Amino acid sequence: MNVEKLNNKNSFKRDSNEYIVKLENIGKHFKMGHTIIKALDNINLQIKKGEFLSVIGTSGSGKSTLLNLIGGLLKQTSGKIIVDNYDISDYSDNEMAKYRKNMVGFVFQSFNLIPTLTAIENVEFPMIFSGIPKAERLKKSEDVLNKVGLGDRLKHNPTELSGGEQQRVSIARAIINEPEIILADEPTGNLDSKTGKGIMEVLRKINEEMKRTLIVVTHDIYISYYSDRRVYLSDGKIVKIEEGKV
Amino acid sequence: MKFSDLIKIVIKNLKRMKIRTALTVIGVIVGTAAIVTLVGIGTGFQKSITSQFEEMGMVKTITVFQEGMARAFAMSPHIEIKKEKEMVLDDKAIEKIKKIEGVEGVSPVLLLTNAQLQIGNYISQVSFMSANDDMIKQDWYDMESGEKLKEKDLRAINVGNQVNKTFFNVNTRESISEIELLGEKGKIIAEIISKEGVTSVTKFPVKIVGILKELGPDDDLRIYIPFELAKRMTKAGGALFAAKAEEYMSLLVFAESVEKVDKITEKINEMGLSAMSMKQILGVLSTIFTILKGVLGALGAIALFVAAIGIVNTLVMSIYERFREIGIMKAVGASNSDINKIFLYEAGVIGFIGGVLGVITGYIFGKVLNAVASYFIQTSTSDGLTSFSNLNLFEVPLWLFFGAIVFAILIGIIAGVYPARRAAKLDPIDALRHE
Repeated sequence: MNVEKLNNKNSFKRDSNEYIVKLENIGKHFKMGHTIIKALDNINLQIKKGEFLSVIGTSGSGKSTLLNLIGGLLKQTSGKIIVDNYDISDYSDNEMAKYRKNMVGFVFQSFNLIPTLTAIENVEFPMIFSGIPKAERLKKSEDVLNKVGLGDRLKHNPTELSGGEQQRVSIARAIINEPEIILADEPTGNLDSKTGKGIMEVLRKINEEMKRTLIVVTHDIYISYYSDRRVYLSDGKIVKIEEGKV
Repeated sequence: MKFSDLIKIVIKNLKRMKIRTALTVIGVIVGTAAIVTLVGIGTGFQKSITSQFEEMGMVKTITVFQEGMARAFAMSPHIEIKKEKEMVLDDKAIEKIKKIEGVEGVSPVLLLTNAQLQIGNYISQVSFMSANDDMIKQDWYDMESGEKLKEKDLRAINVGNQVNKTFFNVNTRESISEIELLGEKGKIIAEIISKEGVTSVTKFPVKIVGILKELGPDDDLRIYIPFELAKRMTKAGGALFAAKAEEYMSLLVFAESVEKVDKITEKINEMGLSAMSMKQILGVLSTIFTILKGVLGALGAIALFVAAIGIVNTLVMSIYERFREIGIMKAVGASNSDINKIFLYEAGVIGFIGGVLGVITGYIFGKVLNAVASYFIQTSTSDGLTSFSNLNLFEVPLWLFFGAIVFAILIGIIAGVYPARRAAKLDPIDALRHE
């Protein structure tokens, strides 16, 4: 398997293929007792490298499922998923963990920071599992926290931070391992509109300046206006794709 | 994941549930301390009793009985007797034994109990043991003061180390605590009871030329006399058991070295006699003690097993509280084995801390028990048992010290296997949904 290459950024294939994610006939269903729930039904989607994509839908539309699938937190029931020319459809648990470590970064609606760690400790956390020494971790974390505008909040616990600040820490953590794809599931869902706008600015900056592919799941159509493309989901199917910024 | 990071995470996690961790650790401390105290007592007992025997230096001595006599004493548990015929213990037998390879000397045992030693107005009624030149040559036949007796000199005798405390006034029957014996002249009084039932008395003049060093409770209360003198006392009727004057009750056979003892014992048994060595006894003792220590250790291990269940419980409970956190770890890229490792190490660290503290606790507790026991034994036995003056019934050898700690860590890790697997197998999305 090509998992070793995932650990070494420099060996990424930068060939002519501009699609970072290719979903082919993706289906996902869950068993709830005797009923089968079809969360995703025959999804075909190609996402360009460096693209800012929104996935829009009501709750139950399958948008979070789609995000989790691309993020390697879920396995598809049918179909193929190819990320950066690696077929991750049949990855083992270990390979998936490596994938999550190196290729993707998550931003959650409820921040999901570890409450007993400080801001900088939360940000450096993913690097522990790559065996990176403490000094290097701290330096990098400080840099990234500065980038998201939290240079003066390094030693604070999440409980001492506002919602917007916590989400910034979350974003810093998501990009600390320099993943190719950043996945944000309702990143502004727990924030007021002003703070939410600030967060979207940070994400936009990361997308434009760091050239990372950004996929944002939202039910808020105004949030989706930041993106290059909008994919509308309903009942697990793609109903519409819109191009262009608004 | 670097080891230093792993340990930091583990210690942080344990600190987060301080009280629960402490209670779990206490369980391990109790279990480990129990093992150390119990096995330590077993080891201490073994060492103290074994060294008593070894101090007497009789590891090269073999005691030989006539076959029937040995059975009567029921002291040959392990000897396979391949005999041609039953043999009689007489001078001919002694010659045969002397010819066995490795035999340095033989001393027939005449142990006389119906005689007394009188010095001035004081009398002692301890037993008399015959000694020949072969016997006085042995390492253990060592003098505290004075000189050894000689087989040829029928007037010179030796006394055991504690014989000076066994005298009483012949007129008043009042016992005296101590009497100076070295260089004193006195007489041995032997009683005869003839076939017709008539009692007559023979007296042998003697001089105490030497006092032996401390050997042990039996040997210290004996008077050692030259073999010829003992023989004469036997003819004079002072013996308890001798059926015929030329037959001996038992012999002491002295080996050249400890290694030769087993072979000599075997050969004597093949001759139709019963041979028994201190070495055999020590061997049996050693087996008994090993079993005893094993049982004691197992008892302690039971306590540790219960502590292990405590570890499982603590960790499983902590998983419930850390569902979300485990989900976050997986989301940022921790592998199943990373999570597995964290929980296993948490269990192992609990075992380690409990093990180290438990060994220390067990050691202190054992020393306290030893001091208490020593005090009681010393105050209640002020006579005759002075060889127990330096009582050390508790010992923790190095293997027990480290072994107990390692065992505690192992138990911890084994206890952690189930919780660790559960944590590692959590579905990340389910885990993140919690709380």
